[in-house]
Amino acid sequence: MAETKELHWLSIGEASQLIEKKELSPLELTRAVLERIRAVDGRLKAFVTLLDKEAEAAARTAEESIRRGHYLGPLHGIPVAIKDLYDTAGVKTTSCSKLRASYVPKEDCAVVRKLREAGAIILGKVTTHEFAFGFDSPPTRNPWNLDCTPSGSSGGSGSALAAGMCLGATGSDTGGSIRAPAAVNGIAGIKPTYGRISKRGVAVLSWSLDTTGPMARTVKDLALMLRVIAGHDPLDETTVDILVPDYAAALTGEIRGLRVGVPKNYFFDDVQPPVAEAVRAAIKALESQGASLVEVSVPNSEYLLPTFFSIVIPEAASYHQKTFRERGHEYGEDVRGLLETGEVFLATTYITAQRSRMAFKNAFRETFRGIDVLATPALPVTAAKVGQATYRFRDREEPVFGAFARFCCPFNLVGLPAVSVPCGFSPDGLPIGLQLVGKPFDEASVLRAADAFERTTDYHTRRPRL
Amino acid sequence: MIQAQRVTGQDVDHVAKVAGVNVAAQDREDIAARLSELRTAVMQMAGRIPADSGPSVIFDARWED
Repeated sequence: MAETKELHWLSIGEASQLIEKKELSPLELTRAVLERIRAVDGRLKAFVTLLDKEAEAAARTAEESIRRGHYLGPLHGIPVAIKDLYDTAGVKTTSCSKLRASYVPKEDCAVVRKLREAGAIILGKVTTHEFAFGFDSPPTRNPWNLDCTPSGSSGGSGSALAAGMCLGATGSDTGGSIRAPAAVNGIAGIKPTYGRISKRGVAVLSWSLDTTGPMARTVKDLALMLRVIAGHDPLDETTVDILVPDYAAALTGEIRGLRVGVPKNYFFDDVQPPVAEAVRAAIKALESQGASLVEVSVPNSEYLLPTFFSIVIPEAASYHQKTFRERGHEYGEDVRGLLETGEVFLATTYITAQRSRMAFKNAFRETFRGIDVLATPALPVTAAKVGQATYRFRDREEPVFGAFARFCCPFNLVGLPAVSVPCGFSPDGLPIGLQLVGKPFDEASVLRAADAFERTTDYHTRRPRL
Repeated sequence: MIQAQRVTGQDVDHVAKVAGVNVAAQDREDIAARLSELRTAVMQMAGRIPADSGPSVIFDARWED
């Protein structure tokens, strides 16, 4: 294990306490993280654009401000990385596509604006799958095994966090793009309730499924970031005007009486054995902390994945329609194939999928009458090797895209909040994620359960050898 | 059965013409397979929900204010 006391390994919670007490300078912290990036990112390639000078200047300003007594809160002076899907004023925002190679937004997106207002230090932009349409983030590698991908689409964020190249990061999640990289990189990530965080200024993949959200190394750090970036945005009509609670205050470590749903079907089918074992053990750990386990079943589960694809594909094709017709050959091969599919997709299939989605929403509403959170594997598998196309289960091959979306996308379909937290490692040293899902806008319970679990383990403190 | 026939690469080509797009020749068979699979699954699921149930996302003529 690497030394865990180095500044770049501090959590946001730890660093913010030191900064508030003026025992740690934001400039010192930012320089330590930039030094870490210089040391390891040549191998990991998580950063698309490094804003080292700007970050140092912002850290100096933060330091001055705090010295004068203007401490803004737990993100003040904290170095964070931004997924390259998020607009950043005056900084290239490429969506990791040739098509946006020279796009420089004039304004920050809503989330980046909130982060800056809270005093966070923007280190730079990190990779995404092209336009977030895939579970890989080339050329970025997984710090736990450089032959593996960091998944995606927020793979740059996952890799950067796991390697100590930032203390927090932003992600976006349409079918698992925060939770999958969180799981395979051994960090935490939350897809909040649809409508909880503004998406204004973040490139669209699918209007009715997209969510933005935080990624970090601890659940408390997710809570601190979520408090800052959540909230109604009058300029994003999908956001909901509902109170944003103090999520960190909800992390009491106390989960006695919490009703944890354990799926009888679907979520443990075709799961790699080490993943199933780790997740079952995590569920037992929740029980031993006083949670009560409730068996639940998910009706029509075999149709979750096709319903998801029947929505995301045509919505993405609609967003890209003009560009695709003019410059279709400039998309990567996989994204081009998906957009072509969307162009020839029947409207009736799309609308019928939206009708099915309502049935799934009603089914989950019923399920959540008897439980507070649902526990599942975040993914059925550990990280894929670079270039790997499929996973093998007993009697079938499953494409990587399907395997990574299978357990995550149901909660984009129904809009519920879901977190992935580290819950173990496979025998070959790859991280495994536990997914905890909550009721609409009840991110607090999801984070409370995840934090209570995290307190019983050391998975989130383990570091990859680089 | 309305959905008995599988979509072929040639079908994709025809629909692409209707849509006014070019679909790369090497992608047609994959797209055909994907369309067949999704259409079949979505129609099977539709058979399990009430015939008059609407979508969760409604595009209608409401004004917000």
